[in-house]
Amino acid sequence: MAHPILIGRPTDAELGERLLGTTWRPGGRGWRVAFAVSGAFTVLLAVCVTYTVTTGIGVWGNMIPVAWAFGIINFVWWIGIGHAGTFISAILHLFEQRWRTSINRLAEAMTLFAVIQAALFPLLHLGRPWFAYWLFPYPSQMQVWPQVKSALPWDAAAVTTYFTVSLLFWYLGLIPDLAALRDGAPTRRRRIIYGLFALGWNGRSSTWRHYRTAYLILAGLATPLVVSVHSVVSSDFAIGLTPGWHSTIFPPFFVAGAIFSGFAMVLTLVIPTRAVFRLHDVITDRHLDNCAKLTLVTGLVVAYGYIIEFFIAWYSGDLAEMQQFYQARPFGPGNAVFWIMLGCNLVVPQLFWSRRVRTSPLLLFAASLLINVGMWSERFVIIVMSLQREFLPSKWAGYAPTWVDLGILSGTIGFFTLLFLCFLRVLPFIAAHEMKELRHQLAEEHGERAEAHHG
Amino acid sequence: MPPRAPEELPSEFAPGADQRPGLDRRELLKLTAASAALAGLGACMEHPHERIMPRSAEAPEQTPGVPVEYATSMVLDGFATGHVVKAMDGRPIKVEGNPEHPASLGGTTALGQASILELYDPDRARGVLERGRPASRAGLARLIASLPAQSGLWFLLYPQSSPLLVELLARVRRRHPSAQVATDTPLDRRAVYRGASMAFGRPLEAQYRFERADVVAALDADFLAAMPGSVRWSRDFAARRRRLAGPGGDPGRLHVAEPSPTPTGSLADHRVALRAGDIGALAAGLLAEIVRGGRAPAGLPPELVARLAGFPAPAPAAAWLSATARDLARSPGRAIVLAGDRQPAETHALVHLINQALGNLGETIALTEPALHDPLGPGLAELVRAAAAGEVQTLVIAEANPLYSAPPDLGLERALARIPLTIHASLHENETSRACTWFLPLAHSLESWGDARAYDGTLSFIQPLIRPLHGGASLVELLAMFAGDPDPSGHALLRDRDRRARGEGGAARDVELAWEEDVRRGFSLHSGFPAQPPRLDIPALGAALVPALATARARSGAEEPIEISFAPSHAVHDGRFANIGWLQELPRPITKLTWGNAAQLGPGLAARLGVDSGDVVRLSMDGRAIEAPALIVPGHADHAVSLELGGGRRGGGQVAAGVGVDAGPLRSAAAPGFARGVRVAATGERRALAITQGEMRAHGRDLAPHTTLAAYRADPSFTRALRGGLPTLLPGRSAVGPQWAMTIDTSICSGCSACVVACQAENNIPIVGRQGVLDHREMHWLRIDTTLCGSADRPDFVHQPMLCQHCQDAPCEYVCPVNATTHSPDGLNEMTYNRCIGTRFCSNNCPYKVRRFNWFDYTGEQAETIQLQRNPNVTVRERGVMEKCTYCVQRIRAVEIQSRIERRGPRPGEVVTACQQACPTGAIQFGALEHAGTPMVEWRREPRRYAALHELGTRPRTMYLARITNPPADTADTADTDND
Repeated sequence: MAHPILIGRPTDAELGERLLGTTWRPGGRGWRVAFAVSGAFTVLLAVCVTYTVTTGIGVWGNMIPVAWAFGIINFVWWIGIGHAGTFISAILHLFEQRWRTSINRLAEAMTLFAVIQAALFPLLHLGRPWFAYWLFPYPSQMQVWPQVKSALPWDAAAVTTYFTVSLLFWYLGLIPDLAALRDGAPTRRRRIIYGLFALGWNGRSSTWRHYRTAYLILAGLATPLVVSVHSVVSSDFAIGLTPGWHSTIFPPFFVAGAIFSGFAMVLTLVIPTRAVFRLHDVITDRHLDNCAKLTLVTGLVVAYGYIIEFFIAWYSGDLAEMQQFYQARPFGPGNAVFWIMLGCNLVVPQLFWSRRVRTSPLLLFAASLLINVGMWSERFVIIVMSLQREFLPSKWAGYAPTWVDLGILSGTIGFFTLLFLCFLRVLPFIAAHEMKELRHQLAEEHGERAEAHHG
Repeated sequence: MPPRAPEELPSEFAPGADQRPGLDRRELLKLTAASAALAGLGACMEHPHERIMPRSAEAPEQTPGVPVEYATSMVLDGFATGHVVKAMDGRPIKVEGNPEHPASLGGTTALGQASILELYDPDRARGVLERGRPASRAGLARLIASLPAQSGLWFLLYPQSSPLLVELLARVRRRHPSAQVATDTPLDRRAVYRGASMAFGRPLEAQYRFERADVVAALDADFLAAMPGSVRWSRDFAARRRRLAGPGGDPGRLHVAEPSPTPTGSLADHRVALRAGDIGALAAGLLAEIVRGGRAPAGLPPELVARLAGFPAPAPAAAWLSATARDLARSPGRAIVLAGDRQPAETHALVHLINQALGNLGETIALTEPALHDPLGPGLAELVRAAAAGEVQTLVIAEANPLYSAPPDLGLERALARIPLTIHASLHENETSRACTWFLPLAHSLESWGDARAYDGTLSFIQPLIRPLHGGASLVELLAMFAGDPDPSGHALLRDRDRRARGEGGAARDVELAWEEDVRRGFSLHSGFPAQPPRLDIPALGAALVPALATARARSGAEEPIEISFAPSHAVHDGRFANIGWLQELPRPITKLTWGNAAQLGPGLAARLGVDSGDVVRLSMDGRAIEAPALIVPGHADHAVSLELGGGRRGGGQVAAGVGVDAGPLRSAAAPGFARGVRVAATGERRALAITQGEMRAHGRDLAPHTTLAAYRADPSFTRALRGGLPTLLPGRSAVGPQWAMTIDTSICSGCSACVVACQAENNIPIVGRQGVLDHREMHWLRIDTTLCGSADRPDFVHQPMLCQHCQDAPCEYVCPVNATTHSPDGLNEMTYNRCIGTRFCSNNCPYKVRRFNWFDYTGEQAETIQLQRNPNVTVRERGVMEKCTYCVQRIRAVEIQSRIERRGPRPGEVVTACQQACPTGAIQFGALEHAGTPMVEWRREPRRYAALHELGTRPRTMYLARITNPPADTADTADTDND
């Protein structure tokens, strides 16, 4: 018997007060501490970025042969995390999964903030970031276009499309709640600001009808992006020759990994948020359970990917591939990261076969953190460990990050957290209007059942 | 007239010329004309007129943007090598070998290539000093002029071969009759001449004709890279080995016995690792075998024959010795046996005896007078003795830096303190300058006039390409000051000597023309010394060798104590080039170590000591000790440690500071080359070694194919899997114009690395420093991958110059998002720096890992003088862009432009890349595929051709020829061909 997706039957007013009221209730001490810490890391990010841009990529640990390292790892990791938001809000919406309602806004915000972190890196990792716009097909007077055989212009297109659609989708879903905030705002200034962003929402049934249509269309548009973005990102590696990169399984493998890490990050964010705001009736154990199940499913796809990678390395008969998978990864430089990856991505999700684990917030939270670590490690293994051991042993080398690399990674985590904390305070992080709708739906179903019972 | 340094340019204009005259038009025009005229004359008033002569008489001397080539010479330890130096708008920018010069034949060494950077070294001394305070040259001249005739005057110089200098010394002796000259270099060759004196009664020099030698046995002799004739010998040796044009050819055979693998050892067909101290016994053993084989030279004393009978070979080399002796005996008159410079005189005498017994003298070996002046004259020891006796009142040390390089047990520092007046003349203020009363900056050889003899005696000229950047006198000018000339001119001195040498009889006009012709050429034709008849006094020599045999016998076989041997660095020589960044960052041919030296030892000794590469070991001997990082070198002799010279400079300049370890404390005057009895102990510390090559092993991959001659003959197409067509989905490329390509023969690449520095000089490639190398960010466009095959004790080495392969289906091109790397119709993989945004995807996708990235602003931070060296035809790359080998596209385009002007196509051999031009052996060949008949095209028809990483389908334009070793038949089993 599944847990309910809403415990109790709060009234519309109660729901509105609880879910919208977070925007005008003052933040507690805990929030301020969290804000200060994440703000400090954001400052660290700014310092590291400034240092990198003014001095050169040399302040990172990158070198020949490992010309891509933390920059691209972080990019792929953050983009991957971003995937769960769209998956929850678009795909689950199309499949009419009602349990998505209470976590979709939060997941979408997570997507946006993660993509913002990710988008830093394609810029930052360039030798000459001031020419990053050359990746886009803009009308240049020299009539030079991007070289479209390279995966990098595809990346630029995919990531910008994804960010744009995610932003629109998130914003569209926010409009009714922004209108509610406008209407219930305690101060005039807030009313003006929320009013501006509410775009004159008037709550008429025709408005609702247009809204529903637009939302459905955007959900349809966003759905293929869930698959396409990480497929394109995986092409950055799959089109290369490098042993460990040159693999046709990468697109589905990357997409599964992305959703895997995305759900882990949703759990990482939802569990403390639920605890702090005491939303156990709105975000129930059913939600956690479902997220955990999806994590398990995608985790199994990832495991399948690992197995196939190792199988194909052997099946190819290629010495460089075999040495990459059977020597360099388990025993070469940085092999600890490989074992961490296996532990976190193969072993940890298996805990989710247990219902008790799936409904234990503490265990889930710990597991989700481990999976996030594991997925970062996976990108390290793919990118750095492959490059460390390429075709010519004369140019084999071991990679080590610098403090700037670590500063930028922790800085983006800080910046992400900062954005999320602001989001919690400034906008309703649970779609109030959808919750109200859900309550009515549930009540109606309940009523129907009750009537049927009477009948 | 030499062009002046840019700093002086403002003074070119006549006074007032840069002020705007408030005059009418006519007056203005008059003044303009006058100042224009004066602008040309102004320089002539400042400087005496000295005409330097470009190689081509037809070339106008200065056309902006058109380089002019001048022949000159570089002198190292007394021996001249002919160079051709390219000057662009008055700046010398590139050194090449002089193709006509017998010591070069067009090749150069890494040192020769880097000498251009020495000229621009920002740390060069800039003024005369007296006790560390600025003084004037006039003051020094007055001091010199005031020296009394009997002043106890001594000079300490590097060994010299300059006829002008010899003449000047005679003039100095007329003024100071008791003046003495001591010569010294850490790479002293006195033992060579003493050995020759034992054999021939006088110090003759052996001239080897490797092109005629079927069998060569090199005993601790790195004749391809570290001996005075190496550049020439490399070409000759390669010519002989290149008879392997097909499987039927005979490449000859090279036997090498040496303590630590050298470029020569890495090209050996049959090599044994043997301690330097066992080489004497090995030579005796060789002679014993030859005598046993019935080839005893007539007149050999019976006592010696008796001692030779049953002479034991040094244990590790027993098999090597018998095979080598058999091989030598099979090629009488067509073999060469030679011993290294650091071997004692007796070994050299033994080697002469062996060559005599084999009938090689007069055939493959000619004997001439030595090029060096007074090669057995006084040395440092005599100077110290005289100083201790108070006989030295004035000491002039020129060029040499004995306080760094002399063995400490000589007590030079104490001796110096006893000398009232010491004058040091050098390019740099260094360790020695600080201990001397006066210091005079010397002019660089590219700034001065002079002459010197090549190894074979060829009279070579040194002409300046630029006026001294920092003032300074040349060595001959300094000597002329002591001869009573207060303000000498090197040009006048050389001209005078030349006129006199050419004889009074000739018409002045003819003398003038002959001088001009010789300076243009860089040397006097046919001025090499004639061969002397080899007259061995065999009985006397035999008698003299008897005691030497006894010691060799006693020593041989004893494994302990451990031997330490010292060798010149392939990069910084004895340390005098330590301030040249290119050389410090040059990967050493075998170890690929940069920025410093290490205690090299074999895997066996390392295992017994429990040390790994990078562990700091303490080497102590007779109470003296140094600490150096250990470096395990496969193929190193057991029970031995070797150390390169040239590290640990204390006064070498910014680049040299703190780099490497000074081997000096362990060297003694009695045994400067090698000694027994060093104790090695791990200290527990570690020091990272900046090594550019990750792995020396191929890890089972077929990367550097090699096989034995017998196997090659049995299966000539053994590289068939590494060449030929591969199925592809990609559309073909349209080929327009000449299709450029390169072929490299790994059978004759010794790994000497002259090409690496040549590439750096030609293409404005920056250095990144020790930390940069440790971070794997070295910028070399061309590196030499050295693959170790076989066991760690007896490895084979394959050198593979690795540069952009110019793939026709290039993996880098399709991943560049901005079209920064593209394909040209003539087959080049081009790099457009301006377009590059630095994604580095191309480097990730390059299987050869030849792309280099500007991680920092490497070029903007270079010293201004260093910037003067830059080649204006090559873009200087900014921070954040990728770069790589271009096949010297600037040279290709220059030839194309010229050929288009002349309405023709490029001629075969007209385009020469920098690496090809520098290569002493000629292992690198470049050209167009259409030019049939050129070596580049002919070579790639050989069955042993292959493409690196062929299976990836990149279709590289660079082709390699597999390494073929020719081990003696009876030892072929030891040269196993597994490359695991």
